[in-house]
Amino acid sequence: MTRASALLLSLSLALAPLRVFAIDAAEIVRRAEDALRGNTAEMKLRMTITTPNWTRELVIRSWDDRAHDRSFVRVLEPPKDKGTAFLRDHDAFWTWLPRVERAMRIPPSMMLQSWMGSDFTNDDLARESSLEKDYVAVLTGEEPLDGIAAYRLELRPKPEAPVVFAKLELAIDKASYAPLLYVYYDEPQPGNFEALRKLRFGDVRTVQGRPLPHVWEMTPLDKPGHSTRVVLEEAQLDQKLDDDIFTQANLRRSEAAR
Amino acid sequence: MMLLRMAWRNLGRNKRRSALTIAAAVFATLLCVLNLAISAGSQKRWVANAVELYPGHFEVSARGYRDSHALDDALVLSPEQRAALDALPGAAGWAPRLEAFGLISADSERATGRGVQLFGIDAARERGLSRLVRSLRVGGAAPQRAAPGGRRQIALGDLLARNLGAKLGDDVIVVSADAFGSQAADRFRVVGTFHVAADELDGYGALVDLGELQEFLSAGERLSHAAVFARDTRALPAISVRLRQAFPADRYEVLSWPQLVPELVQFIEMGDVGDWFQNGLLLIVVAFGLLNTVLMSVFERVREFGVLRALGMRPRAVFGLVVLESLLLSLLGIALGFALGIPLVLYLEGHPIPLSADVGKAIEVFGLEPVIQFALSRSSLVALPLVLLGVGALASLLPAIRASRGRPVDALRAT
Repeated sequence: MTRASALLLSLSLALAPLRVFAIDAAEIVRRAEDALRGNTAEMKLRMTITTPNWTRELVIRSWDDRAHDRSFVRVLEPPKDKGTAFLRDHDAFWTWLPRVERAMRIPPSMMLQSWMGSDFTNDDLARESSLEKDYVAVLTGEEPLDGIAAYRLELRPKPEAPVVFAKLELAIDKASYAPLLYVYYDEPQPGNFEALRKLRFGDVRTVQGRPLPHVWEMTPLDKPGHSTRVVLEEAQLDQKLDDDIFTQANLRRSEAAR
Repeated sequence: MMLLRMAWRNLGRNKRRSALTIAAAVFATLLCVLNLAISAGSQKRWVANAVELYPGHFEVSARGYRDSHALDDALVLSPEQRAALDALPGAAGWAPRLEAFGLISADSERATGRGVQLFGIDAARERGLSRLVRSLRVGGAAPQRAAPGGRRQIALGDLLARNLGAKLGDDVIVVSADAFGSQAADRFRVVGTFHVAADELDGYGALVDLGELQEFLSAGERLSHAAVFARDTRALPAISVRLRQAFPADRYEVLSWPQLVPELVQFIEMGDVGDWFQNGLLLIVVAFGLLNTVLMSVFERVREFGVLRALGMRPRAVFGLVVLESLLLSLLGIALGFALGIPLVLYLEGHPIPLSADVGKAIEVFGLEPVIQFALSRSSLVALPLVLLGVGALASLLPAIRASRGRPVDALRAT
């Protein structure tokens, strides 16, 4: 072995742990997202919106076809909103307005508006942006969260990513890779981050071998007294979803039961 | 004291020279006064224009609403508060309003929604106060409350209508969030379009009857704010006091127009800097004019100053004499200038100068009347005379130094 190759070898050995570390961070994010969304996900959700003045409950059914980058959401309850539906196919986002029997395309600038008065955004519900595709992850530590051993990750948006959050902090269960907590940050001045909202996961149950949290609670940090809690009532992951679901025709079937 | 008497007498000795110098000062004063009056007049017009466009002189809202824009934080007026608003001294009136953000699209298959700011207004009240309703295009009407079961009515900014491809009589779809976060969606018939020459209104604004919007959004009696318009800017302080009594600061927020249209305040401050720059140039010209006449008079009086020095007058006293003469001349000029300028401005304030058709058109695009408006500004009354006097004193320094250095020997040779 020459001196040069010995040097190279020791150098690569020295750098190896760092590289593995970086790969690990992306892998952890991928596993957490897999747990939440699977390759495909069909869910029935009960959403409770709480504000200082009123509380409202919605029941919705959602189809998330991550592989084909499309999703569909239909409101089942309450009667007032029943039939309202949302279809996203890549970056085209449509809503069905049962009262006027019209489909309206929602412009991209509206993706961060509140979804149906909740603390989730249109983007959250339609699952357009993706932690995996749009952010670069770095593992920052391993402090436990509420007694659960957890990976701590920091995500920064990729330069061209169409996202608005300046930073995300994730806590992921070390044992199962189930997501525990996402905190979303804004950067009002360079280098000065401000937490905007907090998404807490709980009640992890295994579905199709994946640790799927069945309770998601979103709390906006700038609106005291507001929060939105989502409870999964049914969830099926990794099933093949019919192409017919993600069509304009299905969008118009406002009274349909599916 | 003796110096002052001498200076005064000296002015009288060459009446033509003094009169010329005074005339120069009068002319300069007049120019400065008129210049300031024109800029004060245009400022007044910009303010009136911006305030009457929509905001009003005061906006009363419930505390918290301006941050959240949530219907939960909206204003509900008690009968006492309505009475207080009705009884404001010096007010032209007030208007209740409800604003909401939403999406609007043409009533067609697969139309794309656009952001829209919905203004729920009381058209009858609004007509006499803001320009929104008055700016409805010919053929259009202000939106009214729909009859039970009838089609809801809307008036669109002309740019928005064009972008939607909507004409009078067409239907549009409006979506917004109601007071409980639920989706409110309905068809509205376009009954009018308006143009106020402000893109944020023409391109994104739509008018709906206040009661209609409240019902559409399940908002009850809630308002975004009550806008108060003063009859005259002099009434503003009194209105402000009354409003703050009727709407205590712990639960309500009363904003006045500088807070409502901060861009305008900046614009005016920028204009002020520009005015004083212009006046500065004017003053430099004036200074040289004065300098010239005073200097010439010193040259003509070499003999006189020589005699004074020979009689034992100190150089400092000669210096003071020339400065005093110049100050007296400026003072007379300024006083005369104001005596002529102020009545002129007051007259022009009531008789704005109409502009030619071409320039007028360019200004009308901004929604302004095509006239040159004058107004008497406080700064022209207080600061201007002092500045002018300072300039007069400055202009006399060089001639005064010159005169004080005159030697009796030179005076002997002078004619």
